[in-house]
Order: sequence, then structure tokens, then C-alpha cells
Amino acid sequence: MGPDISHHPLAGADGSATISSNLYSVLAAVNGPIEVQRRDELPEEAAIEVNIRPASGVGGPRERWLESVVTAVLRSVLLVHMHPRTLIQVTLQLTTGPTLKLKNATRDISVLPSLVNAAFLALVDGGLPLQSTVTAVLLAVSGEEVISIDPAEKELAGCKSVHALAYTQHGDLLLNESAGNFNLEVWEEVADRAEKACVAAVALASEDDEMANGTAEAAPWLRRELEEKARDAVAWRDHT
Amino acid sequence: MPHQPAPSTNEQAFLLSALRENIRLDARPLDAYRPIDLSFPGGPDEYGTADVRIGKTRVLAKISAEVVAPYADRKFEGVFTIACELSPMASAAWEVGRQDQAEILLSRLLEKTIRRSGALDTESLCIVAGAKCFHIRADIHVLDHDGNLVDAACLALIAALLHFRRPDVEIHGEEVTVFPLREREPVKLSMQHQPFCITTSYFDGGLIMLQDATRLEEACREGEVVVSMNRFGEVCSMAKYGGAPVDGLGLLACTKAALEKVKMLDRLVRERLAEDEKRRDKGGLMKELRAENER
Repeated sequence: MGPDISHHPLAGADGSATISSNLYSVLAAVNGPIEVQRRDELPEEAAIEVNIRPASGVGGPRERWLESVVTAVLRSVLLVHMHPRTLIQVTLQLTTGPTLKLKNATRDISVLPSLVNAAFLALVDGGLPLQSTVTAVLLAVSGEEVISIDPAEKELAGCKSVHALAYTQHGDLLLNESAGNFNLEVWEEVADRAEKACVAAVALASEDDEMANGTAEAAPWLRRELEEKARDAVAWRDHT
Repeated sequence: MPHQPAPSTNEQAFLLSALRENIRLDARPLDAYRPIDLSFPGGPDEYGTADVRIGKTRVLAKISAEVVAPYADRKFEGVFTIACELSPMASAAWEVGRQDQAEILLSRLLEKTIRRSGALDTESLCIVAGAKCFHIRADIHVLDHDGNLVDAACLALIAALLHFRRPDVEIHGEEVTVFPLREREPVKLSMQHQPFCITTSYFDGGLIMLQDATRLEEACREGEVVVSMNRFGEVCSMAKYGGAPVDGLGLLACTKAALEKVKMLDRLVRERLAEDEKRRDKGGLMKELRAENER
């Protein structure tokens, strides 16, 4: 299970990835570390620049806000101090979005997990030094307080609140954005479910686990992708 | 922002000496295109997205429509705009928010070829004269740049326009109803003709002419001639960039060669559109909406 992923679809960028979940498709490209402009240069770490481009129309305040949120997550994942006075440039191009009309706040939150996951996969593809693995999930709470992970478009349109959360492989919270009407109790339950889903996405799959619960949210989709990619990268060794 | 490094002197000399022997670095004939791939991504009710790949160059065009008030001086016409903002995705040298030379050239050429040649019938976009019309917006996203951006962007734009369907409308006096895609079968745009851009790069003062230059060849060339024409051989625009002169016969040769390529591109677009239609139409919606019984 998990979203559809393709690694390195672009030839020009240092690293790139596409990710299509049931709501959004995002194409991410990473260039870096590259030369940085004087005004953005940081003396002790790499500057991170995130550009988000909507499928149609030009970016506005909404995109600027999303950029700031994604930048903050990437900064805590990248080992920025390894490349001081350089720039890591991340471009996120949205290619498809939901066809139903969603509330603005819901739409803003719902795109975040796809953006974070796409950016992370592109960073991995670009071979940038990372300190942890990050997985983001989207959760929707319906009117009857039923929590669904990776909700479908219809669930999202009729939900009470949406939550975008991202965790590292150790279960450290990196991103927490919510919109809608909810209380602390609900949020705690949401966070609990999200943490489980995120940790499961990169967990070492033992055979017992897979036998016991072959549920969608417990599938280690990110680990499988990364392992496959690592295997492909060293495949030349087996041939020589 | 890092500048795109110019190819080294050795590289340039090698490329030029090979060209003088009629050899291109990727072993193509001088007038051959790299393999062209055109696809229409998206689900069954998503229209107006075209993904073009020419070799390693990749361009995505997306069309969208909304209802707006027309310009006061053009009451009977809809609005059609082309936006091509280049992002750092294709090349780190392209900065966000600063217009690059390539971007200005690209948008100007597309504007001339498609908008000013009247490829899209803007009068058909009018809903209520002076009050409501459709605004068709075309976004060009350059995802990967390995030369010949203009041809790829033009091909993507034409393919996306041909593929796009706008929502159907119904007018009762002053009242206008716009039907969502799910309620009523959307309508195709009315296109008057389909122009394509063909870029010819020249070297050695017009002695060597070649088509579909890669990025390296573009960096070494003396100039380019962009001819845009439709499949009937009607030239919509002609542009020559770069300092070196090209004589009249050379230009005629460019135009003649372009016609052949335009026919090839036109055929490609038609084929892919037909294939896509077959893929999308599973007898679903249209069959359901049909009133007659099979007796």
C-alpha cells in the first residue's frame, strides 16, 4: 500500500521524485548543495529554499505559507551544518489535485503530507546527507469522530477537522498542522494514530507482523521504496 | 544563483568539427528529432493536461477555465492567456520571480504563434456579451531542459488545448448556469488551426542547419530561426535570433523543412488524442446518459 512513487523522473535536477496519493500528485526536484546568493547565505549552515508551484495559476500567500512549513520540516531532517554557505533548492510542482471543491483551510492542510513526502524522497534521490527519515500522513476526523488515515476526497469534503502530521522513524513529531473543529482529546488520538502509521511506514517488517495485520496503514511502504532504491543503486556491484 | 556553465572550448570545437562532417554527437541525422513522447495524464474526467517529452526535454501544459467579465473593449470575446514561468526545477540558473531571457523569448513566441494567429477562437468563449465569458488559462511548466524548449512547449500547448473540455453552459435571458463536469458532458474548445513551432539552429553562417538542437548544440550555435506554421503550410510567424545573417534561400529551406516536421507533429497529436479518447471512453457516461433504448 501507500502512494505511487517513481524515483528520478527528471534528468536535469540532482534529485527528483514523483508521488501520487489519492488526492494529489507532486513532482519534486532538488538541486544542491549549490552556490548561494549573498543575501541568503548562512555562515554555519546550508540555506534551504523551497518553491511550491500550483498546477494552474501563480503562487500566492497560500504557497508562501506552505513553503515556510515545508522548509521548517526539511531543516530538521537535513544535516544542514555539513554544507555551510551553500543552498539546497527544493522545487515542488503540483500536477493534479482534488476535483471536488474543498474548504480553503482543508485544502491547505491536505496538500502538506504529499509535499513533505515528495520533498523527502527527492532529497534521498539527490543523495543529500539526512539525519532521519520522515513520513507525513493526513488524517480526517468525520462528524461521528471517526478517524481515517489518507482520507478519500469525499471524506475530506465532509469532515469536521483535518490534521497533517509528520514523524521521524523514532516517533519524533516534526510537523503538526490542523484545521477545523476539534478538542485536545481528539487531537491526542489523531496524533497517536499518525505516529503509529508513520513509524510503521519505515519499520522493519518482521514476517509475523505482516501475517498478523496486513492492514493498509501498517504497510512499511517507505522502507520498501528506500530499500529497493538502495538495492538498485548497488546492483552494478553484483554484475562485476 | 549559479550561472549555467558555458561548454568548454574543447567541447565546442569537437561539436563543430563533427558537425562539419555532418555528424551529430548523438548520431542523429541533422534534420531528425529525438524520440517524441506525448501523453495525457489524469483520470477519466480530467482534461487539458499534456506531458511532452522530446529526448530529455520535458514540458507539462495545463489548461484551466473560469468565468470572468470580458475586457470592456472586446465585449464579444473570451480571454485567453498563456503563462510560462520557468522554475528552478529544470535548471538551477532560473530564479523564481526574475524573468530570464529564455522565459521572455518562450512566452513571446508562444504568444505570437498561438494567440495572435487566432488558433483558439476566442469569440466562442463568450457567454453573455459584455458581462460573462470564459477565461482560458494555459500554464506551461518546464520540468526538464535539454534544448529545443520552444518546439516542446508549443507542442504541449496545442495538444493540451485540443484535449481540454470546458464546462457546458446554459443561458436563460440574463441567467447563466455552468454545469459541473459530472453533470453534463463538457465541450471541446473550438480551434481554428493548429500551428506548431519548428526551430532550426544554424552554424557557420548558415552553412550548417539542424533541427531539434540539444542544450549543448544550443550553447554552440550562432543563431536560430523559429518558423511556426500549420499543417497546410500557412506560416504564422517567423523569428530569427542571433547575430549571424542567413540568406533568403536559407530561410526558404528552413520553411520547407519545417512543413515536413509540422505534418509529423500534427499526425502525432492526432494519433495520441484518438488513443486517449479510446482509453477514456469505456462506454460509461455517454452510454448511461443516452435516452434511447436498445430494442
